[in-house]
Amino acid sequence: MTNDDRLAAFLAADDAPANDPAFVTGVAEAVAKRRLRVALALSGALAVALGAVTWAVAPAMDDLGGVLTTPGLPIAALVVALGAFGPQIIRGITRLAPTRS
Amino acid sequence: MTSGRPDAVLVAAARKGSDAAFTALVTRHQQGLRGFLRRLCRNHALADDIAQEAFVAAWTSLGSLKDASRFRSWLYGLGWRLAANRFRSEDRRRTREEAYVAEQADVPGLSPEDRMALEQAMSELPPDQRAAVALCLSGGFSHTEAAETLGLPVGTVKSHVARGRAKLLEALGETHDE
Repeated sequence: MTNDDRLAAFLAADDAPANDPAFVTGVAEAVAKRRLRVALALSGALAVALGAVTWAVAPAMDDLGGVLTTPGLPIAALVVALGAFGPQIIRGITRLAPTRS
Repeated sequence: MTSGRPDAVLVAAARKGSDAAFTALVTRHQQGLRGFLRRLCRNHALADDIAQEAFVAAWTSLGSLKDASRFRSWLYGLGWRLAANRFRSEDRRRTREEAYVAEQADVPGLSPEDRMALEQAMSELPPDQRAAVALCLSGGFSHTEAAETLGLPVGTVKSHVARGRAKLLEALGETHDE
């Protein structure tokens, strides 16, 4: 056996198996974890962005709140809502009512 | 079936979100990448961990691969950089060496003395020289491909391989002229 053969045998001792389902599965799991982490990070970023938008428009919402507390406005809103949706509500109640056979 | 398709086709499919294509790439390259990293790290468990990290990094940055037909050298390059980062940590190196002592086994055709001498010589090679030896003497890489993988000039890789091989043969009692 030549020294080159010995060197080749030494290097070949570090070979990994040609077919290793456990390793391949391990990589698939690690990729799935990474994918989940990315999705969570994106969701978190979206939540932060929505929070920032809410914070930015909060003063405008306060102004809107002042308008909504005007006396008589809730009653007016109720009248408008009943006018708009009343017929549909009545139709829905009629449809849900038990029919007599 | 994805197993017989060229790397470039599998990379294109994986970029479009095909898990089967990426798994086929892992199945195809795991043996070579792990072998390279095992020769480089001298610790099979650590090398396999780095190989897994390299595959995850490949999945994450597949979009940055310019030439899909060079997936192999790109992947090995990711593994090399991850391993090189580990080498910079002295604690990890100590852990690696301690772990390796426990996992030594007989190599067919090699006496325990030769194996220990080669192990010692291999561990003493600088990491980039060891990487060049692992790729070109055992991984089937050309000097050009190894240079691309390691980010070194071709001449440097040739020199690393020649010097590394000479040092390893010297450990077996062979004299050489430089």
